Amino acid sequence: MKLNYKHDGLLNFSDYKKTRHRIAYYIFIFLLILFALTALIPILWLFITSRDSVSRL
Amino acid sequence: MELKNTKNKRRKNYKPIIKRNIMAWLIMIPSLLLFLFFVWLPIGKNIVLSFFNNYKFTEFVGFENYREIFKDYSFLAALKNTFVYILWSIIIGYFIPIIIGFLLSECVHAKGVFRVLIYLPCMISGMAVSFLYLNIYGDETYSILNVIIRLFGGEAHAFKGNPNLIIPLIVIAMTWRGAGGTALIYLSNFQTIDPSLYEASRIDGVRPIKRFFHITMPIMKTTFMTLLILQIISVFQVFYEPLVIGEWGGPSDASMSLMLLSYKFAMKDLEQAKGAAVSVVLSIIIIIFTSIYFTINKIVNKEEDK
Repeated sequence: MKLNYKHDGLLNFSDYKKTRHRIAYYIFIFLLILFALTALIPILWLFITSRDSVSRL
Repeated sequence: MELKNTKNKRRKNYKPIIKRNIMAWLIMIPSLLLFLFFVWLPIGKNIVLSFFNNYKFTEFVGFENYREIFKDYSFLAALKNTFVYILWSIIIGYFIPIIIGFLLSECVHAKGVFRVLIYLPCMISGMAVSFLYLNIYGDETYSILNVIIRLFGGEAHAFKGNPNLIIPLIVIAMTWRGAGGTALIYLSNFQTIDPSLYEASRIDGVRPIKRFFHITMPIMKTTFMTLLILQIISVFQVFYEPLVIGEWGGPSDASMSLMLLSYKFAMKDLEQAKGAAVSVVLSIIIIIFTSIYFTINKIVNKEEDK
């Protein structure tokens, strides 16, 4: 488990021994996925529609 | 005698410095010439143009152009809008990069992937992003946002045509494009915090939230301040988004910015002198904010040195 080797940052391996801190970490990851999707989806849509003709748009 | 000796010594020491400076100036000349022709000369010419009636410099009119723009409804609207832009960019766009930067600094899994994905929008040109968001907000029938709203049983809305909504919508587009880059700056600063500070507080039994407010926040204070001022300065230069999404600063100048107004005067209305006057006013405002930024930086640095 990568969390057991985390030595820097606000929370490190000793904090992650507690369940609530582990839950907080997974919430962080969930939020990051949300931000990444928000960044990615419009770009994907931009590339997909750039292949369409004007009439289809 | 001793004084004379020290003077001679000083003279001897100056020679290599002068020599080195001449060399440095010689190296700098090409870039200085480029700056002179492409930056300083146009700026100077722009300032001079703002005191003439047109770009042919035929008639000196003094402050007439300035008087005219300060009476112009669009200018006053643009000036007001600029501050509304700043307000919304702080509400929407200031905290998101801080949150992303913090999350990235704490993330262990797929850190590189998240970093790349979040930075991706910064690689797209401002104009392309504006057209992308024009399609997202668009009209009532075909815009993506309305299609999604209708999909969930909601009612379609003319987002782009609403004067109260247009600036927040533009700020969302700006934030989407700029947040990734700013988040990486925050990330690099979060990573510079000495882990031993956290370790010491951990030994003392300090909880993570308290650690954040008593260790992370004070250390990051300078970065927060610097990026806030830089964001305000960049918001003054908003151009593509009101041009494309707002369609020339519309509806009825609700999204007009000073930069766009300067361009509109010069290129659409063919009143170059008025456009030059607007850009001079904009430059003065930016210079004021930049000097505030440097003053704050100086004060913060002095405090840190203490």
